[in-house]
Amino acid sequence: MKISLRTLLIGPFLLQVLGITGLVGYLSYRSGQRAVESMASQLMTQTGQRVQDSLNTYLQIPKRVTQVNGELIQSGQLNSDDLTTLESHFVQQLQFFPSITGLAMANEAGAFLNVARSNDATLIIRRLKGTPNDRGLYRYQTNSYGQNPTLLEPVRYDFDPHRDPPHQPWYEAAQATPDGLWRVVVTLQQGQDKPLLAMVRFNPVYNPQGQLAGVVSTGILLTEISAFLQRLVQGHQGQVFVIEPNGNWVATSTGEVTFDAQTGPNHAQNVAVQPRRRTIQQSSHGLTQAVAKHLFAHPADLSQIQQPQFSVLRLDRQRYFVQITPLQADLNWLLVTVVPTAQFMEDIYANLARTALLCALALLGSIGLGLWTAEYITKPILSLQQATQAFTGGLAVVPPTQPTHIEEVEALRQQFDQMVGQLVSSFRTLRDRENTLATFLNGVPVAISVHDPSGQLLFLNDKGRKLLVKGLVEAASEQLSEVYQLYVAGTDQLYPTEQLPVVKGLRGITDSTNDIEIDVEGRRVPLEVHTIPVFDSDGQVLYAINAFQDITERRQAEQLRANYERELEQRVAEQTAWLVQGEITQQALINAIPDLLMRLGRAGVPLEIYNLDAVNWIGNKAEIYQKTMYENLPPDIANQRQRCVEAALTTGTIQRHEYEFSFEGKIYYEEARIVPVTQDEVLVVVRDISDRRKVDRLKDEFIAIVSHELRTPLTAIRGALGILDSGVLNDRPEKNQHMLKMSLLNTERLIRLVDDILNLERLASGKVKLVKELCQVSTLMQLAVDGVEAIALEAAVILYVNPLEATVWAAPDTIVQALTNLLSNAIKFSTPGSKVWLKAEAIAPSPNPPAFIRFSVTDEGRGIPADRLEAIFDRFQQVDVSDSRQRGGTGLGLAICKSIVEQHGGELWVESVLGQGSTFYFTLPVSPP
Amino acid sequence: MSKRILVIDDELDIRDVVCLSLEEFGGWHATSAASGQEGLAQAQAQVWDAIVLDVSMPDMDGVAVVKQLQANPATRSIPVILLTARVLPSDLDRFTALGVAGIIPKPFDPVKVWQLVAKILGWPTEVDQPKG
Repeated sequence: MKISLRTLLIGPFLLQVLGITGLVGYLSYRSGQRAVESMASQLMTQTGQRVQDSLNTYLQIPKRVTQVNGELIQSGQLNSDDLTTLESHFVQQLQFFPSITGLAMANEAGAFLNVARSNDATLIIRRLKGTPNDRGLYRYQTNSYGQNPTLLEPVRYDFDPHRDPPHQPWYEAAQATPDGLWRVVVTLQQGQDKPLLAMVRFNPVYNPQGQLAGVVSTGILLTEISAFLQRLVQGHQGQVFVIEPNGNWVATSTGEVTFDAQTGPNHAQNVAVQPRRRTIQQSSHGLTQAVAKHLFAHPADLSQIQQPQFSVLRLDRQRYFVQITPLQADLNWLLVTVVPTAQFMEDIYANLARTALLCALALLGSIGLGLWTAEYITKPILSLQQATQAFTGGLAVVPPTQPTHIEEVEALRQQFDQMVGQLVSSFRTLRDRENTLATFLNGVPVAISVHDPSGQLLFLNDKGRKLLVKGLVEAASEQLSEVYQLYVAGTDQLYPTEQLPVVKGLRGITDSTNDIEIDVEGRRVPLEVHTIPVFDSDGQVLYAINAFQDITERRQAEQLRANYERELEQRVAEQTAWLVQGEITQQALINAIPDLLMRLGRAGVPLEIYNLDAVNWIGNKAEIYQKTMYENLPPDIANQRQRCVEAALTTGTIQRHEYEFSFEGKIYYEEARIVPVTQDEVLVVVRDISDRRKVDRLKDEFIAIVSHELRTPLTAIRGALGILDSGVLNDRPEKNQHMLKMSLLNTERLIRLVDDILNLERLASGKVKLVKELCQVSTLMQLAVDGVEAIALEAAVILYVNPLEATVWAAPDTIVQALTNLLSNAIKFSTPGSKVWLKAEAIAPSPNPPAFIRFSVTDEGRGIPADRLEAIFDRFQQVDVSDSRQRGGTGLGLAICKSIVEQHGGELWVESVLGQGSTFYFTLPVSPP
Repeated sequence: MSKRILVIDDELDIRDVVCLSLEEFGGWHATSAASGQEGLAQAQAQVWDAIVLDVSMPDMDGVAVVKQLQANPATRSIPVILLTARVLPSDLDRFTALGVAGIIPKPFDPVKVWQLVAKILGWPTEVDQPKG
């Protein structure tokens, strides 16, 4: 049998530890148990003694009371014949000694008195006078003070105190023992149906003359003694009982009744003591029975016991201490005390548990130590063993052995390591040498083959096997091309074998070529081949070494490079075109912007400028990049601009400023926005807002004019009516009339003005749908002339009309209005005696028919300045602000005309020469569109 | 002696109404001129207690007239009251800046216009001003 080192170390150690620990534990337990048993015996003795003392004291009371009562009668303080006095004496004594059950007296004359406690705190008094006339024994029930007697039926007439009980009367027995005696009697004090056993002390009583006077007695019920015992052991486990040496049972702490309390019909039998006695063996209590069995197991005479006897009893796995103690001499009783050992054994068990715990700890500690020691010793040895196994098994890497502090093992380990190291290094060297050449040839990135002089392939490296897939097969020089599928590059022609570099090599020529292709599994692979011959010492070719490689990638790379260059050229061309296109687009975008754009450095010198013509550049345009921007601006604007640029650079937010300046006699308004681009560069966007300003100003002017135009007639009306209303001119009727007329004329002027404004508004907004029809041009002209004839006459202007017989597609009323407006304008601005012409002509862009009719009104007035030729068609745009009043117009006439003509799809314009006159033209279509 | 007031306005109707009001209710003597040029000539030719001047006039407007009056030491101290239909705040500011005595906006109540003139110039007005 083989045992491991570990087992050998641990096994005996463990057995040893277990043995020692067990022995120590057992001895400790044993000695502890003995010590406790001896202590328990002492304790038991003490307990028994205490119970015995209490019981003796308890039984002393009836004995003393009986003695006292006898002495009282003997001294004449009480009279044995005076039952009444005795009765009250007995009642007092019962009150004084609660342990006493009853007191009795019988005298020589045969009288009898018994006072006893009942169950319910009442007293039972039995009295027998013993006179010849009355021999009845009367039973009364009274309260605890002997008062309120109630006679209890029936009255007995068969009671003789001298013959009670008949066969063994206590009276005689007491007479015979002057010192008194104890006797167990049956008492019927509770009634004939309730016989009870009582322990009674009898004493004979003598009169002062020394003659026997009677017998006094004091009784304690056995049940009372039991109750006393019960009180004694209360709160403890175990029990106490009292027996007579023959086994008769006296009292017990278990609550059992120790006698037979049955009644029968026979009175003599009922009062007989002996049949009612029970032995201890008759107890129904398990422990009591067991103790009884234990006591009487050995037929030793219990009456011989003089000293307390101590023994141990087992019942139901419980141990009990039993002690028998004899009571006082005149009562031949034995006191038995039973206590479970558990009551005493708690300490020993605690001690035992502690011992067990300590043993267990010691055991664990010892085992732990043992295991650690074993491990400490075996570990390095095992590691050596593993290393040895690994080495023997051929493991390339031998696991490292564990260093140890055990001197001998460490030496062994070091020697082993050294030996292994030497062996391993020897093996490695050997294997390396073997592999070096093959590894080298396989490692080179070109294919290598070695041929003998016949051309037969002798060696082929890894790379070579991938190209010459047939491997080492038999093939002579002239078969090489066919066997290995070698072709002239780009053809299906087998490579001529005599041209193969290897064949040349075998002839002693070093050669190389790159025009060989090999068929590798259906794929043509271009090869580059180099061959060198190896000569022996005689100059004969021994081998030809052939190095070759796949040059597919090189060929592809060359192809790819050619393609790439071509593609690059194309891309560059495309990019260039795109850039040019982008440049044009960008320029177009910039040109579309109505602003000057300027990249500006921090110093204020422009870096780049676009749309220089968008604004009014007042500097020299030839040297915009030579000067700072500020030098090309009026000083105050330059300052403002510089502040904005600095603010934009500092805050990084867009700055804006508006300014005006005059240049070559004109006033311009510009808005500049300064946009920060980088830390040192801003974009300046300048916009000419002169037109916008002009529009704003015109708007203001328009409001002022309308306001003025409306307020002037209103003022006249308000004033004239106010004066009329005041009645100040009441006595000057012609002046009153003038005021009225003034009101009327101005009201009409106001109406005209409001009409014109509304007309124009309707026409301009297109809310009025013009109802067009074919109209005779001559008719329209005539109607217009009729309308202005009166004012022409008034102004002394001569009117010429060149009518045309043609039709136009028009709303006639509006055209008459337009002609009237133009004519009245012409008349207004004509000096008396000058001429005004109204003409109409057909205009034909193609030969015929004419598409438009052109109307014209020509005057010889003052003419219109060139810059006003277009503006006069705007609202309230008279040539002169004062014209409206001077010429009576509203300033809206031409605007209305223009609107009417445009609604017809025609055009209105004016040609004028200052100081010579003007001609207004408009065209109308001849037919509906 | 009754106050003498020159009224310059291109609108005949307005001239008539203003003159009537000043004469009939104010009890003053009013003379009118129909243009700025005529007004300037009148202002220099006679002695005036005040000039009531319309702003919007052809050829030479009220503003030009005020400047001419102020340029001439003889007419510089005559208080000028402007009559105008231009009631935009910007216009009023511009007129006030000319240094005129006051501005009366059109349309006005002819029965009260003499009171406005008196108030502007600080002249006493009697409640029971005689009529005519």
